[in-house]
Amino acid sequence: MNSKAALLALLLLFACAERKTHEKLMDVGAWQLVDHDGRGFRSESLRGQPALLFFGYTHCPDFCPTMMSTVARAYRKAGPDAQRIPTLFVSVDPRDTPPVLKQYLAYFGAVPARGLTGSKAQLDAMVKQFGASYVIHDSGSAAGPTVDHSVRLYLLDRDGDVVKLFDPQTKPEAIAAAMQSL
Amino acid sequence: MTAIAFLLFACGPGAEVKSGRELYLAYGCAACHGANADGRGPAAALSQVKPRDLTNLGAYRGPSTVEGISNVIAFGTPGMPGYPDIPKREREAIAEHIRSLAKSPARVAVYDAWVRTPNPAVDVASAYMTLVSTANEPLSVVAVSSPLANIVEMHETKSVDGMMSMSKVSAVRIPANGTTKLAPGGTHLMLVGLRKPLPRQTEFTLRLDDGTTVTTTAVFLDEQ
Repeated sequence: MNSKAALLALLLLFACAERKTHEKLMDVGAWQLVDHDGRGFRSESLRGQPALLFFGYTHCPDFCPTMMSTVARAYRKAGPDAQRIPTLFVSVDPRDTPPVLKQYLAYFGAVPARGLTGSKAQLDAMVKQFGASYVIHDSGSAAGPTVDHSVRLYLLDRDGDVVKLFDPQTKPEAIAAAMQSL
Repeated sequence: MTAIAFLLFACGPGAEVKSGRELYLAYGCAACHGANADGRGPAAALSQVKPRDLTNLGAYRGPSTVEGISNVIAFGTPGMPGYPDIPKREREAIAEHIRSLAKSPARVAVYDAWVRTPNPAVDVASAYMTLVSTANEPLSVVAVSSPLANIVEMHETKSVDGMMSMSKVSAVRIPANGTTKLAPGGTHLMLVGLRKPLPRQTEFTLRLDDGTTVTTTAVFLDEQ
């Protein structure tokens, strides 16, 4: 290796080290789903944008809207610049077709949300990659099946790596601060 | 509303001694609260605030003693005009009458009931409230109904090891002389089959395992 190449490599390494201000918490790898417009959506589709991500379903009356309102408050705190960070709402519920997801998410005006779903195989793979889990069961509710699911909110950096995990009780301010730091 | 109230007052009784019920009717309380005091009087629809169901004092915040009710009649509430010109003796007679109408003494009071404004994409919603019991033994809510929804279920949300689990329960327990809070992320009411269009406010009737019922009004809140 000549000295010029070595210097370039060193510079590149340095540049990467500079850019990567957050430590990767888990290696989620590449994944592929379908977005709320019915188009394929892959991890690379984020194109260098950070993103928030959580698992939910539209028939969830309590936890999911609560998480969504926490996220909405985080966006307000983080200011207009945070609108470049999408929130990915991943539903494993077969009732949540792309049009249902789109209509559901349109209600949360403050959040630049994108609904994601997919085939069972796609979803199962993606859920596993995120260290999450879900169980669809009949709880006897008139609203139909209940989806028990992981409730963490993930913050992905520009490389699609998970750099922060928030539990449902996290204050919007903390999420906003993490969004602003990316 | 105030104009109607004054008109009614103008037609009030003379000096002769009347029973609490007669005074209640003579002063026009029934216009809003109804002849049998259930809050469904003919002018109730004109009132911005739903007139109180006086047969169920325990379901609402506010006084339930003779003195307390008499003061409400004299000075009003945010939703009801005051009638300071009704003599104290007559106000107390009306208060006695109102107290005599109370069904069984409600031992659970409901506070701060609210419905999360439903997302138009789905036919479910959640509702929350605080239940305060003055009973010396534990009580349970065994059924809930509301004109807002075909079905009201009681659900528990539990978060175990980062996994959220929701399940339907058949009763919600209130400790003796204690409080149970239905709140986001915990026990909540799940409404299935919503009435459309949504009203401005709604009510919930809770049936307890001692056979009594408690009714409360609830507002819609958008947590966003």
